[in-house]
Amino acid sequence: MIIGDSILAVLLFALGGYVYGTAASWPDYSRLSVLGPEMGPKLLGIAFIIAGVLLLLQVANRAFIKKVNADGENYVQKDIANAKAKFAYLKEHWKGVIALIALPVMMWIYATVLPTVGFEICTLVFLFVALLICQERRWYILLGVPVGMTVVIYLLFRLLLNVPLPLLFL
Amino acid sequence: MEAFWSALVDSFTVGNVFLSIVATFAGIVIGAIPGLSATMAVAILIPFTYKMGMIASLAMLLGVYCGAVYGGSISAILLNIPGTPAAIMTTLDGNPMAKKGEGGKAIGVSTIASFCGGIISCVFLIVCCSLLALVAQKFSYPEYFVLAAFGICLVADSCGESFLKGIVSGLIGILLSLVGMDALTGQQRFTFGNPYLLGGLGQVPALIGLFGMSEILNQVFELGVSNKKKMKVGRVVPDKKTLKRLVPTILRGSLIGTFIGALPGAGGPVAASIAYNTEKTNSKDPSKFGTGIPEGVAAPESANNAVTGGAIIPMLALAVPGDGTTAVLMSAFIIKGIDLGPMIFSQHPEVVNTTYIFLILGNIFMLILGLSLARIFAKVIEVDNKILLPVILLICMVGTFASASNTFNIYVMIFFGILGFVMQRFRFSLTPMILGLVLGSMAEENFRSALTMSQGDYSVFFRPISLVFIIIAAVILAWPRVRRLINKRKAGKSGTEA
Amino acid sequence: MKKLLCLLLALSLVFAFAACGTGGEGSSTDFPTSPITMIVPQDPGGDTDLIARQVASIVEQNEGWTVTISNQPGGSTSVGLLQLQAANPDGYTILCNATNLSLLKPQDIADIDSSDFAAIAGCNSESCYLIVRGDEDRFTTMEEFVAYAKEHPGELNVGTGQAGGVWALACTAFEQGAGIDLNIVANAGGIAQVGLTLLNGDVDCAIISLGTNTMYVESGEMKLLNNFSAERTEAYPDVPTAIECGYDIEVTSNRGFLAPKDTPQEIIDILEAAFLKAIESEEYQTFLENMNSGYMCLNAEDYAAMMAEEDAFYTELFAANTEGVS
Repeated sequence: MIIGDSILAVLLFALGGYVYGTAASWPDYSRLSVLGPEMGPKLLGIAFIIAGVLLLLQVANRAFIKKVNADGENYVQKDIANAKAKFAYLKEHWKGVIALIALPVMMWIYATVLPTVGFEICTLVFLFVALLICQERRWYILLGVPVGMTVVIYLLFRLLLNVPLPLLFL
Repeated sequence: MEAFWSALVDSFTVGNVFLSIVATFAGIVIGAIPGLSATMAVAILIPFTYKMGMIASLAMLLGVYCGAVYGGSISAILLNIPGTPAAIMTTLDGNPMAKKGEGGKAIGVSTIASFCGGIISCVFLIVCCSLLALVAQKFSYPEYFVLAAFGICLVADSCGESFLKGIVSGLIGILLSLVGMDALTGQQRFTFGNPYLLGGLGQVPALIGLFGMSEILNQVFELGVSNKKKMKVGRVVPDKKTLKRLVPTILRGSLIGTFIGALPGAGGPVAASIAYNTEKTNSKDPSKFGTGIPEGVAAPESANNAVTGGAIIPMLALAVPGDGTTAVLMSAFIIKGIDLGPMIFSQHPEVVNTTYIFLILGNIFMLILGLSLARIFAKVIEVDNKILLPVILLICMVGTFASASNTFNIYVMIFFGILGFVMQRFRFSLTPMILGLVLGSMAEENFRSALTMSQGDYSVFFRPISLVFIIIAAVILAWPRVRRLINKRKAGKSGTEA
Repeated sequence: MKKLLCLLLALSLVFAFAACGTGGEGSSTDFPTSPITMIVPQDPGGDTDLIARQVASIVEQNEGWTVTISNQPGGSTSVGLLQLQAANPDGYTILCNATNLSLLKPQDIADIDSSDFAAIAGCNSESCYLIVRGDEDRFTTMEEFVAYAKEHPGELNVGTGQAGGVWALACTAFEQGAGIDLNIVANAGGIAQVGLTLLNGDVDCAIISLGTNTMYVESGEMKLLNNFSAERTEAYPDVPTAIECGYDIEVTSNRGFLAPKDTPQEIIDILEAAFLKAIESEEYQTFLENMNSGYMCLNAEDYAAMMAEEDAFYTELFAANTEGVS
């Protein structure tokens, strides 16, 4: 995990620095609290940076000092080979990658549009497209499940449990 | 005793018992839906109690309470999404068991463990309510800090592959738990000027995102690849041997749950986390936890249902709610004009006894309903993944929305879903992060409050009750390691001898 | 099997649509023709939530309306208020408000105050008290307390609600008004927990509303030294107010109902009439007594004036308190 861990270490440095910096900019609250609100975040910021350093040390240890693992394989080469294999895998399963990106995006859109467009249309469209992305092709499922789930959720949440949902026409 | 029997006779009407059964069933269903928690379930029903008598109200609310806390484990086991925050730990071993085809057994263990936890906490409630309340009363900032810190220290055994990454995972969890308006000073921490974040990131969206969505993202990727074989459900009631093996786990979980429930402000998630990780630390082979063993389900489930009885102790005896759901439960008493507090035992003994009765009944019905309906619930996972995954994603979103009636929470859930997914790609274990999320702010806030209260004097952490807990915590943390050292020495000696 | 399932789903959809019937909204003079949503900016089970639900249920009984409660906790009530601001000003979305509204702008939480909303009615006035333990022998009256505090600056711990909340500000106002220096220990867990810390001895006094702690006052375990409202309360006629003791301090937490700013006046009038009727009812008054909370009944105009006063008061308090936060 040399490449991965190196990226991770950089991210940890960034995170630690940001957290510490933000916390240090807060006003002094010593009148209200012996240890102010900045104490926790500052400690965490420092801890993240230390963790990043330790990770880099681990990486360096594997890459430059140990160089080979128990089976005699070179760490760096093995890692690069792994990365290449992963890329090839991703290329082959591009459908899965698309699903992976598309679904959170669709969820984001769902959340943004929900109050205005209303729960019925959002749910119908979301489920329809999501089913397509998950490679569902049977027409009766593509139509029946969105409609059915919309009805079920409406009955359960709105009528039975009295939980308010933004509705358009139901 | 007489009062108890007369209360029993009064409450045991057909109507009330039927209400209790229906309420427990409703509770199980509501708890099983991610996003709808036990607190919500009780809150939804409170308006109905305006028109009902006290006994009927108690029958309904207590049934829902027991059912909902247990119900969360069903979706935790089958879908890897905790239906209620208290079920977070149940996903760690429950879902792997379901994937192995032991889903029914997991639900069975969960049901029985929940029942035992609930009943044991009822026993404590009835027998030593006042005693426990006295201890709970003395619990203040230093003691809460020690409890939370102990819970966080248990991270050490949940790190998975890399100890360093486990610690980082826990630290990320703690950092995220600090988001919001600081309780002591009002300083806004990492809220980016967004008022929706002032109360913190929200447990429900965080857990749904972390467990549900990230797990689904994991599975979506595998969709086109392998035609996953359908998960079998298997038999529900676990065999006698397993049950016998689980007795100590269940007992420990119940004790932990009752006690933590009795502490005001600490409830299901805290109890489940501490019970699960204590069990893991103490076990002979901690690495088995997380692969799908019954102990991993029994410990948190007995703990979180033990919280139900435990949380009622301070509610009755001190008029302070033991957890979030009991806070809502209290309003049912207030609306009817019944004063909670030590006087309730003398002024309204029938209310107290009715509470005991319907809490016990709720647990019993939960056991019966849970075992009989488990197979039906479990049928859900037999649905084709292509349909199931989008539907679960939808339920995650709707449930998150329903939990707070605003869409910002859905964004929070998506954030956690992606965060969980990415962290798993970097080979982080998520368990320490959950511990950090659940316990982080509790530890930090109480630490600072304790010092503010003692005006800078650190010895406040060593006052009697606090000291007792430090010792207990140290023993629980150190003992397994000492035992392993001793065993290693023994094995080493016999090895060299042989 | 699957086809059958889908057929069933489609059929249920048809039934659902049929069952829904017409749910449209009528003309504005016909208000209300569909359910009203009341936003409660607090967790279920909290004081504001209970009061809102009680009033809503009485309004439902009296008028035959449907009022659904929507809990929107967070941001010291600002989340709920922002939702109200964004809602349609047609009278179908209202909110149960607390004094926290006046604290939002001065603390940079949200850029809103009472002038961004239309008032409907005021229903509750919660006073806070200076509470000490019953067996406290260092001070038994307000004067003794202030004298002790002046002799021992920074020594006394005072327990109060969450930082940035009304009671915490009452502490600050008290410190300023009496010229003393206390060690404020804020607690986000609720006034019941603050009461416990007082009994424990972790704090020397508390400035909070009573709520469930009333039972300790009745049993003598707690004692009330001072009342921070304008007048002595009916429940405790022996407890002097801060004003009587010579300090210009008055802090109460008031609750009422709001609608979006541009709601038509005729709709506000209908709401005002209905809510006033509910607030004046015997049932509501008994309920508040059970909750140990103060009764108040203000019409729209008076409530709007009260909120404007509170806005001004807290803006001033924060401006004057800048030496506490550098």
